[in-house]
Amino acid sequence: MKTIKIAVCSLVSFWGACNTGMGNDTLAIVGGKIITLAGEPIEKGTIIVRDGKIEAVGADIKVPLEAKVLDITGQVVMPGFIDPHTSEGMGQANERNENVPFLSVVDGIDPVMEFFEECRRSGVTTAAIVPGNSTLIGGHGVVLKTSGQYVNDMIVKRDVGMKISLRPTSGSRMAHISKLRRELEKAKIAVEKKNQPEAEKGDKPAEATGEANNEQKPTEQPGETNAEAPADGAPPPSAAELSRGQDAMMAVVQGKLPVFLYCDTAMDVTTAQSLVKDYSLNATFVLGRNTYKAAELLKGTKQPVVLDPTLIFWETDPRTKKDSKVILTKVFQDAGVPFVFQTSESSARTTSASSYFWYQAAVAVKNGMSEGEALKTLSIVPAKMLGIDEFVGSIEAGKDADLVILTGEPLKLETWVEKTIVRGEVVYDRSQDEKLARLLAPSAD
Amino acid sequence: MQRRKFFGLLICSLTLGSISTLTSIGNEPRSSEPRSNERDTAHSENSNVILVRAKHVVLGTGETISPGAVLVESGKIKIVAGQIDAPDIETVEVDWVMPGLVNAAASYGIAGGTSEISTEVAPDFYTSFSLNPNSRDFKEAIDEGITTAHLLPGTQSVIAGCSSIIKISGGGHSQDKPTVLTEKHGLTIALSSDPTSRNQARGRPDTIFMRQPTNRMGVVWILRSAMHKTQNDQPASFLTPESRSIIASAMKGELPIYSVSRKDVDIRSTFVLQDEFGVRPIIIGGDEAYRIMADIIERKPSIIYTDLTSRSSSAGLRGPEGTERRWNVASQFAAAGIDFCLAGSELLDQARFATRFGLDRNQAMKSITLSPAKILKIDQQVGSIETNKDADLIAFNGDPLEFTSSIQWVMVNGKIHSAGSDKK
Repeated sequence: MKTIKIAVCSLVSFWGACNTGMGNDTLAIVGGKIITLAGEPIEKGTIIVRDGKIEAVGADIKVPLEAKVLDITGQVVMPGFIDPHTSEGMGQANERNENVPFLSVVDGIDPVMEFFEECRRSGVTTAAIVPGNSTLIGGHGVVLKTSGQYVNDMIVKRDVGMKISLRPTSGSRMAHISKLRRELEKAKIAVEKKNQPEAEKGDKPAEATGEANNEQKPTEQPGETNAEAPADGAPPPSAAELSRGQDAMMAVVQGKLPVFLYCDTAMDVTTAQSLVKDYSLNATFVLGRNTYKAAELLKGTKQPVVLDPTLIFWETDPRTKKDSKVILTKVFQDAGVPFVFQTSESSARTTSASSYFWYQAAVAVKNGMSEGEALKTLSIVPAKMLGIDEFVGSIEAGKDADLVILTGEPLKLETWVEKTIVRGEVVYDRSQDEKLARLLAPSAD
Repeated sequence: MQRRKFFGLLICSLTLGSISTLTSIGNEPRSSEPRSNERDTAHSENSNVILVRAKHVVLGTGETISPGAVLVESGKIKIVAGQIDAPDIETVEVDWVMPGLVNAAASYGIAGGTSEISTEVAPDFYTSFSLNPNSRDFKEAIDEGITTAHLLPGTQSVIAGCSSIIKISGGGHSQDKPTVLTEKHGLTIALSSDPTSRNQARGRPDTIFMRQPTNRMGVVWILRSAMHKTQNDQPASFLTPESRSIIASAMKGELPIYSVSRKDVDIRSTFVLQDEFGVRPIIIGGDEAYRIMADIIERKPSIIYTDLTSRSSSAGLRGPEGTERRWNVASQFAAAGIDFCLAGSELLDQARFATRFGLDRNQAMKSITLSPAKILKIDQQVGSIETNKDADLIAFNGDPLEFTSSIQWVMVNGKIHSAGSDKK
């Protein structure tokens, strides 16, 4: 009891400190080039930040007297980068139980993990953390700021989407898809039943909706639902969890809760499209690298797809022995499918270049994308995709002051993240980054 | 014969900048029979001649000419100059051009694994004997701009075998197979924990893994006993006559020794061998060389630095064998005047990152072209854009060191392999 009290006290005081800190600080970022991602770049512009929000941005903005001035002459400021899909920042990305719509990654986030530090170091201010690709129905993803001491301080959007994976983990693909359809069907029936007027409900014969009935009253028949849980030691979901899971799945089939739909192979894309149609899903496709063969099928999609971190790879046809190089950005650009990037594990960062967002954008530019478009995929495109563009994704008045200050033009070889700002606070400063300084030290210590 | 002479004359006149001879060839009338024949031959000779004009020519020596031109004839570089006037010669215009890359630590196309695990001492195993010329590796290499490679045996054995040097010509098609420049180039030894990785100190005595070495001491012991027994002509069951002759010629300095050493202790062990046997191994790896910089500066070994190639397991802090990583070791080498080069996969990206981490741009370019060629002692033939060297060039649409620049084509021995033909 005591510890809880202390925890609560410290929480409140921390929150208070943050609040006062933000309230007092008006920040003016002056002198630098502003790439707003909402119109043309401003060569020498000013950004006024108040209470963690962007108050004004433009070429001729008067700096308020009380503002702390940050002169970034010769440098470039951009909206903080947004990671559209990652399973890092939590302990374990996948569950043994393959049907866990009641889970949320919020409960698994560890803000102390190196992942968040690496995010800030490389200019990522917002990240959608989503369950892994190896669970059928993996649970809720969450959008977080990459800076904060408690997960609750970091949340931008709690119900960003349900993770569903079409990659079979045990058994056949047929069985996997069938299980998924059964779950979606159950949810659909539950929704229909809920929408029926009270009088009709009683008239229906029990057998017709028997399954749905069981699901609706999980407290009465917990034994039934246990059959779904694997017998490998994972505890069966409780009644409360099941009911929460059902609510979530009902939201999914009504298109209220978006879905991150992972497609492992090209054939999964077709399956995914029919699921979207049959259950009116509001889906974002997360694509394994071999799905590129289905790029044409995705033509005309408005919602960007999430590309595999390995943007370039080689293939050999097993029969003709013909080797070919696949460049994902080019394939999807040619097919007219908008996309966003993922990075490989942040822990691999050195010259493992695909672990950096700016590198992914550079690869796209190298292979024919315009630099302007590539930069948008680092922030405003994923912001819109995740439905958080009201708050983040570009440098515009009223949005959160999530900014990344670069030493020079983005995507250039010698450009580094100088400062990362989240809600108006500097959360990364290269001059204070001892770890980086140590790695780049001119001699051993 | 006459044609050749004539052609030599043509080049001479080119050097002198006199265009009149060339123009006259171009103006030859097509109508007359014998003349048209002559013209055709001249033309076919001409197709052997390519003039590459670029806004920037990176020589590989650390210098860049802007603008510049390279005249290529019969697979060799004939002239490099700021400007070459040759109106009738097939001319290719590009933004940037640089020498083909030399990868000093590769294992392209080695069929069926690179390591021999049945024996710890295998000096007479040759990478050149197990090349699969149709391997996709060669296509990938040429796509990255790599035109010359040093093929190393794997490091699961203490004395791992003989390396070879190849020119890569695209692979896949019969006329484009890789060509071996040096079949038996150097002796590779593994002064690292690699040979111990599969071995067990305890276990079933009937498995192959029940063998030495199981630790670093064992690695050094096997190496020293092999060298001792060769030196003193003592009998040893593990040394065949051929093994002996290879080790002997390596110890006499006739065959270079490549020592795969990443941790500081292993680099030190290399120096111990150096003192004991008077050999001068070239170090491959060198990840923790920064820890013993004073020793390195004193002994000035050549270093084929491969740490920038490897994936790390902990936010770029740890390398292979748990080495503690620094990102700017290359620029420390450069500052100390050490002969070093970058090697391994994604060579161009390595040079880019090395620059990002503090290496001078010219040094970075050199470290993937002329420097590796010098360390491999093939700089008479490849590694830079200089007269009489192989015409191995890479064309870029921008500064080769920028991540956004892409390779337009790669030329090997005067033949252009265009990028993009196989791209999806």
